[in-house]
Amino acid sequence: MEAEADQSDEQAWHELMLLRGRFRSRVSSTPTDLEGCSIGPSTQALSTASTHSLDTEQEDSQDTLTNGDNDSWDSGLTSFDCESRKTAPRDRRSDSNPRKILIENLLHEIYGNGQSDSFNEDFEETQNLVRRRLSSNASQISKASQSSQFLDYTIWRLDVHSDISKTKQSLGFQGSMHVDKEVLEILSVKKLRKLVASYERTCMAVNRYMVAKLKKKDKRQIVQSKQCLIISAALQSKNEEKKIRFSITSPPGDGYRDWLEGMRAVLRLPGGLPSAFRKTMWTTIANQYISQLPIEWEKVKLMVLHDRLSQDESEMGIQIVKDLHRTGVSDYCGDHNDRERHLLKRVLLAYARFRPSVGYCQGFNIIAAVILDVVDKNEEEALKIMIYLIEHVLPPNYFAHDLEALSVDLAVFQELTHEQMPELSNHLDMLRTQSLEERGANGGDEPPLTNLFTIQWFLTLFATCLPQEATLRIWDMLFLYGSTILMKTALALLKKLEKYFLPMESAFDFYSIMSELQLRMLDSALFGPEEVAQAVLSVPDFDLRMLRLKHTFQPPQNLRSATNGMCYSRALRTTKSHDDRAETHGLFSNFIEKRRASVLVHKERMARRSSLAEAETDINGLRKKFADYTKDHQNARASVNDTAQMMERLARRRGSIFTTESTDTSPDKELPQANPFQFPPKDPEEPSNPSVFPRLRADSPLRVTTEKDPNSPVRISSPGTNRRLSFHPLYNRITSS
Amino acid sequence: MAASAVASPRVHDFKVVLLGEGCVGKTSLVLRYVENKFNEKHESTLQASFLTKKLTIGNRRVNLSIWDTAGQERFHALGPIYYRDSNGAILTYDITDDDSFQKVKNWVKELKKMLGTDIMLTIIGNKTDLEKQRNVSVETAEQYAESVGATHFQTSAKLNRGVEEVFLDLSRRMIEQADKQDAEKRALSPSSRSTAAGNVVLLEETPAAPIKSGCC
Repeated sequence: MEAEADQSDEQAWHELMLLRGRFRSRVSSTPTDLEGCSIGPSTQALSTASTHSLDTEQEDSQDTLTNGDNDSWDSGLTSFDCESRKTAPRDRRSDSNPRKILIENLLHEIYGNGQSDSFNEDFEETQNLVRRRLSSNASQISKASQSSQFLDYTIWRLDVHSDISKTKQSLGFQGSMHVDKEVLEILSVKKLRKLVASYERTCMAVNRYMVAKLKKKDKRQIVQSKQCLIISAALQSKNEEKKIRFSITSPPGDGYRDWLEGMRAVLRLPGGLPSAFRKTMWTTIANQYISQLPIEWEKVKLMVLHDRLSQDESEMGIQIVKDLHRTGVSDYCGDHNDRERHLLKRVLLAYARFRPSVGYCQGFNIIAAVILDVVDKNEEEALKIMIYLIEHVLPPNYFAHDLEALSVDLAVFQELTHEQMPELSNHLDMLRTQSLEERGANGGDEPPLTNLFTIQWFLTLFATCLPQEATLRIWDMLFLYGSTILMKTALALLKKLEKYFLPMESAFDFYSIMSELQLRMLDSALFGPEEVAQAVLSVPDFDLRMLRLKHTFQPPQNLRSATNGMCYSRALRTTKSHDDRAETHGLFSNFIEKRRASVLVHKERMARRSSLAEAETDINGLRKKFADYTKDHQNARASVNDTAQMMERLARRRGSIFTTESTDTSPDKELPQANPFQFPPKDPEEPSNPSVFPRLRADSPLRVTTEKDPNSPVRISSPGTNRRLSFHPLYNRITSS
Repeated sequence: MAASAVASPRVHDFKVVLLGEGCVGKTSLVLRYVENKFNEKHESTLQASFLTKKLTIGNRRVNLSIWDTAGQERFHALGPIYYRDSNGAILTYDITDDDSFQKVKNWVKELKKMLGTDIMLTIIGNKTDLEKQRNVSVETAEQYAESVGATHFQTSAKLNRGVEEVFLDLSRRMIEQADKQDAEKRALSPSSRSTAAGNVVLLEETPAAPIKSGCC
């Protein structure tokens, strides 16, 4: 060894170049030396990593490792890489001083930049960044689906760095002393060689580590896909003809539908969807929905997810803050949960900004808390899921505009209860009438007894009435089957509770026992999650869309003391987006007369489509569905005719409503004083100001253009106002042009 | 009017409704009264919820059905029905929040307009445990309560201060009101029997809640 030290510079240079050659062939330091990588059967992904120079090696290997898992990981790191690569000297000048070249090249090997003395700073910065992220930004990391692997790697990486510093120290570098040109120039050839060797080792270690991890990942993926295949096979064996393919993540392209089918099939198995899949399932569905919306999510996200409260939001902000600890989820109420509450607030505010017409409704706090819990407190995913649930799963106006859709659902629920549990329904009706009689004529109205509880059930999607596990099972179904699950769950619960209600002798008794049962349900004292889930799945099917339609145009009695005059506008508001309301008022009747037939055909078709979409996964279900369907088809015709008559009647009445001074003064006799609590500030969007309407009154001349094809849009123009509107039967919406 | 005229021992079924702005402590008051619990993390009330309490005042048995309502206004569209035939109303404000007191005034107006003097009103300033942050003075509140014929109480559901008294006082007044209405009826139909008025002795069925320091 000592003899080596005496060797001339010339020899050393040759040797080092040789070494460097080997070194290079392993790590392929420059992009042009790509072919040098020979790390065995390593996955393709690795080859990209090994094209980078040593300093970027570590950063890039991370990219490679996490690419599949986490695209958005730390753009800071990668930009740092690019930076250093750009500035890397490409020229290998043949200088007169070979030693100088040697050192420069070595420096280049180490840093990719001959001048770099900022390596340590950068690295330390990176290290701090990683640590910061590790500790503070758990959500970011949780993005990586194989986060444990990622963490391993990060920790390992920090170790490697400490190894390097150890080597440096052993070579005589002190503390945080930089490995720079001057230092290297001082070093003897032997030491330089040692240094190169140490870097080589490090580099090899990184490569080996990456290869091992990637192999492991490949293996796991193979195991996973095998298991998915087994599940698929199991599912297929249960559902003979249908080709169900199960996978955890939705395959790209057309695979989404199959994936949904697979998920549905798993959902029906005892035990339901494994909770490990839940987050993936929810986020996949929500993302799919968001991607279909005509919005640019990234922009929208920036606009809604922030902490700046504008002036008009302050009141809502106060309300939200008041509710933050009242979610029933313990994560959000303690003294040490400021971070969780802050997240919850951001999500709630973001939704309110996303849909100002809905804003914040009490109950959202509970829903958002459950979602945040499932998605590991990732606010963006939570927001998407919330949007999907409120805008897609639930009908419009469930939480806004006097909660009309909810009223409709309550009425539908009454009807279904009557159909499926006639004895209970009659009993409760009897108790209700009895209570009304006791109070005498001035006693006012008594809503259906179950309303008090079902309203809560529907508004919080059962989160406040069932224990968490059962709630999540119900929500899984809700994501996959839509809002019909809400109705089915309510029916299933009522069915389970029926035996307690039948002996009750007064409304008071009913309310008392129900309050008690509700608490016991929440403690799983009455039935477990599995029992609930199976009960829900066994509720017979019904055509929810048709039922909703029916009760939308036939406002539920006894639900609210609103005058009948309000019903028409309610019907309108429920069916159309509120922006179109004013126009709709004026045009509705003309339109109906002209196009009733095609609209009804369309509605029927839509009804058919939606019930098909909700069809069972097994073929028997489908067959049964088909048989039912033919029956439904006839029924649908009948109820469509009813609806048509109803619409006509309403349309006829419309004139009398809008020519009167105010929409609130009802021509109805029995309930003039029946709206005692005219709650003060009405929604400002409410078209209660009649001055909006005169120019669109039905008796003003309108020109309606229709075409033969029943699916082509109808154009309506009003010469008096120069307004042109068109109604597209396929999309069931009115647009103004 | 829900008091049913049956033979002694008389049973009154009274309906009491709690109204007030969101987060003033309506649910906490009821939970404290009915179950003697205080739960800082209970869920926001949506629309309405229902609890019952039985008590005996003198020779009268009283069944209170207590309707707790949602603070957020959008829920009111669903069910003004729940308070229409109440015998008593408890209007709650938060002593640290003047807006909530203004809201109480609105409620009084509404109730008076609809139900006249048939309904017994109690105004409550809740959260006296936050005395330091008080924004509504006792005098103002009492003056106002007197002017509208309501009784005024200060409570702390958290520390269990004054909650019991609120419901007792309200129950007594509702009984008096029921008697008055009965008397009016009797005047119309002289054949009906006389009811024992008697002195009012408190005999609760459930033992009075031990007054302890705050919980949580």
